[in-house]
Amino acid sequence: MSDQTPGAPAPLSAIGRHKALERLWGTPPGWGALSAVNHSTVGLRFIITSFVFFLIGGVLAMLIRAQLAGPETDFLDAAAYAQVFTMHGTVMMFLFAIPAIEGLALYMLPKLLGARDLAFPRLSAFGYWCYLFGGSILILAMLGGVAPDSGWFMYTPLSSKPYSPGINSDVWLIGVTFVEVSAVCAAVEFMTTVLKIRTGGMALHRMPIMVWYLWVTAAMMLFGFPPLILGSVLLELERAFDWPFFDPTRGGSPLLWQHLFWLFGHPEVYIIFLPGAGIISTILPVFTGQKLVGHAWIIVALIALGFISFGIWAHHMFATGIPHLSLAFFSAASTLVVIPTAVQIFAWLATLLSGRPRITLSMLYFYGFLSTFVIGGLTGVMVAVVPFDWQAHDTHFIVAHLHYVLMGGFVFPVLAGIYYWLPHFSGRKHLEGLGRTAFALIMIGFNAAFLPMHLTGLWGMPRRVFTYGGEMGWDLLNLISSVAGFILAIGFALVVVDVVQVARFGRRSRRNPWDASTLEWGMPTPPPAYNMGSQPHVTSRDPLEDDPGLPAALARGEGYLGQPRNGWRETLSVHMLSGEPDQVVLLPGPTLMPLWTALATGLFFVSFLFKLYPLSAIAFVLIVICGWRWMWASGLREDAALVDIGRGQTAPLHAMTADPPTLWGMVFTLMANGVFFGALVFGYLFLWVVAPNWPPPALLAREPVTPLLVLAGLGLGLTAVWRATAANGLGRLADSRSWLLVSAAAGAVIAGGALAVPLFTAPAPNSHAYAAAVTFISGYLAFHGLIAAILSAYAWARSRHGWISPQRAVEFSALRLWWLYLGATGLISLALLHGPAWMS
Amino acid sequence: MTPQFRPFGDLLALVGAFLLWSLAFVLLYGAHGVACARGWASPDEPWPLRVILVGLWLAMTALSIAYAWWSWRRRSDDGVERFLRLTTLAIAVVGAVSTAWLGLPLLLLRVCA
Repeated sequence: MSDQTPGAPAPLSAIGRHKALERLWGTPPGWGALSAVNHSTVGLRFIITSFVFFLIGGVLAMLIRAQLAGPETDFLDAAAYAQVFTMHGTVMMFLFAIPAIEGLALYMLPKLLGARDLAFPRLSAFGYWCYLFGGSILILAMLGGVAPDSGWFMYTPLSSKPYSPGINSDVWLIGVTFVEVSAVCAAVEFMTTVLKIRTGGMALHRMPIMVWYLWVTAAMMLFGFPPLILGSVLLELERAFDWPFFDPTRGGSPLLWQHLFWLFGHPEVYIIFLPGAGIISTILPVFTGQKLVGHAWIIVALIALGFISFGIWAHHMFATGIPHLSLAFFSAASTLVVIPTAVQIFAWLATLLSGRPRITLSMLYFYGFLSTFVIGGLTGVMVAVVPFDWQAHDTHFIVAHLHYVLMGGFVFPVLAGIYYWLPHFSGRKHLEGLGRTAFALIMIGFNAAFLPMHLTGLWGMPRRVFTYGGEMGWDLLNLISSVAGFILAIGFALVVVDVVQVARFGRRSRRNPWDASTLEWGMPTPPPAYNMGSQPHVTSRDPLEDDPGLPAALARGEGYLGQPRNGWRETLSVHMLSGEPDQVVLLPGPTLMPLWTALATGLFFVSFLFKLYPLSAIAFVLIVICGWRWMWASGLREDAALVDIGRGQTAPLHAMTADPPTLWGMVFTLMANGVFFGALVFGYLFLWVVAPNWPPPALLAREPVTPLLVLAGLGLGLTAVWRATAANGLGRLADSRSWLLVSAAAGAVIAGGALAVPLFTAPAPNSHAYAAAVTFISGYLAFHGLIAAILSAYAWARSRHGWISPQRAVEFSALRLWWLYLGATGLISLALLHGPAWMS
Repeated sequence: MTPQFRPFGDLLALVGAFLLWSLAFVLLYGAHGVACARGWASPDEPWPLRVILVGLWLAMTALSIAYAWWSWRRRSDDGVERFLRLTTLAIAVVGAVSTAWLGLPLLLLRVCA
């Protein structure tokens, strides 16, 4: 069935289509800009904000270099220096690198995929506000003189209450966790988008290489961030309520923090590097006129990297006394990770050698990247070898190594990308002379600052000391590093000047100035809010090379979804492997809901920071209300027929299908949640096996009531949800609603049964890490029972309004997933909570 | 036309070899960590820890090789399926080599030093 009727509107002209689509997809002016959800707008906000933070981090770096320029300098005292180096690392890692990647992906992914927007535009906007607010907490704290000061990896016990009694560490834990909410949102968004929101014909093997990089990066973010969020929550609970997860005198272990931090921290390096490498793999074929050599092998290498980079977290912990054989496993993985990295480097070299390189500014940054990153990689191989690491650990050698990796692997490629896509962002040209001067200053400044630092480190200078004696012999090398650091800063300042002048005064650039073949160049520049007048059907990885007339044809509406209708924001969704169109996704328009939800989340975090716990409870209720209203505005409210998608094809609307993006959003959210839970189980078992002062002095009281309550709730809830789904499928909607009410009640029973454990049967949580862990696991279970109850009630309310039908039942699919997750984690939780008591 | 293969299954198969590698890593590191912390590495033990760990490693390596063999037999000649299954095969081979490499220190180092 088609929606094209004899009364359907006449086809539009290209200009008419542009105006109609711009009205549909644009962001309102003035205060309405706060309601923006469009991926280009939100992506640009991310990118610009991240570069503001980069400049702040850069100023902090200059303070560090000013302090270390000579021996016994009193420019900064030890306390101020600790805040400065902690904030430098924190800002660069959490407020610049990751958000810059998120911004680039938000902006670029739909364009590369030939789509109109991402899968969940409101989630993108929510992520941006979380990022902005979380980052602002950290910067405001710094301006107030209470910035974090325990190093960017916040090791306990230094960051624990006895040694950091102020709110400095709380600021880090709460601010960074707030920012990481945004990273997890972005990961869910990107995973779903690449899987489903592509244009017609874009099978997996026709996806641009950059998309593969961003996809693997998103998967790593999904699995990498939850352990750190868990660690941060546990440390904040220790600091706020004296729950001793990391206190060895009461069954905790500082090593648990290190494990949780580096479970995130090492993959983080690759999360930062891979998008940079993706930029390189994108621009190199364009500027050499040669297809990327080893395209498939690069994909193999990426997937290998994605996994192996998780198996090397403990190589940051070689000096902690872990048994040698355990270290050897991590050392083996650390040497292994070199190979997929090298595969990429050789593929780039082969592309370079077999093509005819044009020496553009982006290519200069490519050469800068290659030389710098290879040096950083080689020193990485050195520190992957345990005996060498013991010598170099916590010295300036490591500072040099990590800057070569991060500047080489991320900043240089990003600069290459900036100059590559600047005409796309702005429709204008940069100043070549200014750009090349900046490049020269950055290359010279960087190498002169950090190359000598290897030697400073090998001569014994530890990192994070605020000064040193003149007799140590480190003064000349430090002076060179400091002078060069300022040259580097001037180089970056010139880049900023160049970018600002492009935005204000740059000469117009022609469309696709580099003759690239990927879809982001198949639209006007700067791009309109809707990207393309219609979505293309692609038959290769190089659609613009196949058909140079494609942009004009798309503007004439000759692709998919070229006819705006019903005020809908439509984008195509495809079969995840073949790329055949299988549904039309209707996306939400501008709304303030992401902002309100982020404000409520911010209230929760800030009230926690200032120990205003009743306010935290109110904020939690506000978050639930916002979440409910958010979901309430989604989805179709009545069944819809197949719609015309152009090119003589029809497709159902997403809410009428079995696998809409919403469902995949739930799948990936639960994956991240599962990693959080897995890290929690690891933490509990780690403490039980390794930490001192175990077994605990007191276990849970052995009683059957609370576990049976939870078990009954799980069984009843799962049965009820399945019965409700079946009844809905048969059109027995009243029966379905009755079962939904039963499942809501079952969720409440689970929450009650779980909460009863810390209230009645567990030792006080501040008595021992076991009691704290038991209380935390109970809280986790209760929270998930509560959410299950709310989701069941939500499905009941929608069904009661007639907004669910046998054909339109994504609420049930999502609910079943949640209950399955609750069932699995509930059983494991019960075993962890009650098993030891019953076996003792 | 929608292909006849199961999309999620094929995506899982793509990363299957490294799921096995991850399992091998967790098993080896976990078993070794627990055994050393609990003092199970004594030479008097009827099943010395090294034998158990080497057995675990060889079993996981064999499983990875079997997975690579299975991937070899699933090759296809058709469009995205061809790409996906060849990539799966390549990843399976890389995964098997990675698993074999991972356990080599078991042959060289003292178990709980």
